[in-house]
Amino acid sequence: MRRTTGWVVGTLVAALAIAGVGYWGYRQYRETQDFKYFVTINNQRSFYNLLERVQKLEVGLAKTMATNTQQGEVMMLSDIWHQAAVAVEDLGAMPVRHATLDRTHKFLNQLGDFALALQKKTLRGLPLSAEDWAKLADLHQQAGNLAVQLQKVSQEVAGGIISWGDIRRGTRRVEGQGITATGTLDTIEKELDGVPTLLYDGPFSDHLEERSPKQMVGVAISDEQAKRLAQAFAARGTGDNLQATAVGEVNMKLAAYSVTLQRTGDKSGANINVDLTKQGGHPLQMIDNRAVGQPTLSLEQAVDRARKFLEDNGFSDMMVTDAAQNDGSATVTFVWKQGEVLVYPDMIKVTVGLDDGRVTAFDGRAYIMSHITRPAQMLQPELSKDEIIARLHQGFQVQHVRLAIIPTDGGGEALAWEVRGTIGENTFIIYYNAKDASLERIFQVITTESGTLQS
Amino acid sequence: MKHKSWPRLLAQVVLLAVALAVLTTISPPIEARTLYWGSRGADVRTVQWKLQSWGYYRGPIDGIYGAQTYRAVRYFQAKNGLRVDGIVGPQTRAALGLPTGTVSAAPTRGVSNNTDVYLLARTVNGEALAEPYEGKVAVAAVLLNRVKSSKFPNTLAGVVYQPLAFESVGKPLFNAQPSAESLKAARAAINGWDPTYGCLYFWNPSKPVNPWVWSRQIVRRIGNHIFAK
Repeated sequence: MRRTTGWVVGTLVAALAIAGVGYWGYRQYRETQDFKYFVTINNQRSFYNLLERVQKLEVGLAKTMATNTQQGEVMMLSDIWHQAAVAVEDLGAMPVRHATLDRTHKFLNQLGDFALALQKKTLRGLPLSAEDWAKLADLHQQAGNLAVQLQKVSQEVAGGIISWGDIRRGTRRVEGQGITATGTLDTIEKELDGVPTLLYDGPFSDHLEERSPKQMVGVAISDEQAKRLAQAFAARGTGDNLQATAVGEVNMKLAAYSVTLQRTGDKSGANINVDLTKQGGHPLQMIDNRAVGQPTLSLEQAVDRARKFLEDNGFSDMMVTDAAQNDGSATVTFVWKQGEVLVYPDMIKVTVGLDDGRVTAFDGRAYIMSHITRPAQMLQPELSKDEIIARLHQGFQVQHVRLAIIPTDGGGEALAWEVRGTIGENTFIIYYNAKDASLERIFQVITTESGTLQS
Repeated sequence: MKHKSWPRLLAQVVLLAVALAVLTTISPPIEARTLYWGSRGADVRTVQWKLQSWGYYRGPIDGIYGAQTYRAVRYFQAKNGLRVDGIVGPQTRAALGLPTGTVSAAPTRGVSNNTDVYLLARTVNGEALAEPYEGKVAVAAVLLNRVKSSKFPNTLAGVVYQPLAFESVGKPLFNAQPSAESLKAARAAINGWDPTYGCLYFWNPSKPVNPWVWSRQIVRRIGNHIFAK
């Protein structure tokens, strides 16, 4: 009797436990399924969006070549620019390793960027050249190929040959038949490799991939010389006794040494890193990772300290254009001044700790890359200051107008009138081309706690 | 006469209500106030919620600045190198990732890129917490180089959240409050510093990586990471 009760109770408890675990497992399973569906529909959405955009790009390119008016070209080119930008968004959301599709990324980005550059050209009243048309025809061809390949992927997925999970993991699904999860995607990439390089006036143009300095003076230095130069350079900013502990190399087109320095007797583990060019030993960057204490200096004092650091290192005629305060330090931006013209490409940034005024960082890359004395005729505006002021928006309160050389999207330089002023409560800095008064750049000045910001 | 004025009165009431509604929506939000022991309100609730999600606060989220909130704020300040006074002023507010007033009070004067700094700092935290300061700046710079590159998405969020791009994204370290050094590194990179000279990839050679990355041009090594173009 007792025995049977024990059995019954035991069985009941076990059954309940199994039912409980089963229920829990079922809930877990349902939840996983829910997430899976959610992820799958997101993947599918970005893929089908991408497919649609690429098809529209193909059509848009075809239409551009059919239009024969400037107005039509601008309309079509702006549509291409827009479709390419959203296609890139969809591509970036695809569940594949970046390397699988990086060529496709570049193709879409360049296509949009190229369309924008042509648009700007047309708006300036310049006709598209035979070369531009040839490039468009080529891009049209490529966009068509891409659309066909993407359709193939969509058929493979729809036909159950591969799943998004396979693509994400990059695993092979159909053994023996040579079909891999990323097979068609790989084909896309290979075909796009045949796209010729695109050179045009835009930020994604191929000629901007790796540039060389405009002018490089000096002879090749040894690593021992690099140590001494780095030590002297950093000591002028920190005033500390420094010892070089290591010299490494930076492997790039502009070859450089990287010198690690330590303060004599410093046990905190802080060190200073200085990068110098191998030719001439020009300083590129410096970063000191010392802890910065409570601020005692004003922003003005920090600016003076930064200026002195540059002067001591032989950088003259540098003008402060911006100073911002963050994390107990002040970052001061300097640009070179040729005569009365500000040369923005020749920029240097210096960070000063507000605790004791020692320099903690230096960035001279832009200066090293672009510094050169510009030919005198480049500094001569064709439009006068008054002609520019006459073109301003009504109600624009001018604060200052000055000449400046500014970088253009395609890596060139242009002489511009820099106009700073306000409309209502908003402050702007606007750059007008000093030759044809076309708008080059416009920045809004935003005041934050750390200083002013240009965006 | 009396029943004639009814519609007019009604119209006036409706007009007034609409005007009030419009006024309350378009009037600029109140300047972020300083919070201390005894403060009450929705902003206190936000602070409590933030502190709780980062593990500094265990008390109720009731919008009342009491002893527990005070202790949590002090603990948070001590951990983040702020002045330990138990008062939520502009600096603590900024460290908590809350709007500091300047921006929310004047939406028409532009919006700063503070969210970019945080997103960048959180990714640096997730990917390079144990790296030296320069290594952190380098990782932040790689992310920004990707935004500028034609081979990657064109927004910071697009780059950070690109599927399979960063292992740490979405995990606890990424979601935690970034360390002061990660924030500093993110700001330095946004200010233009780039110890990698334009690199787009970085990896830790002691961990398993996609063999493809080794085909890239290696520029330099900083800390435990290799940086390549």
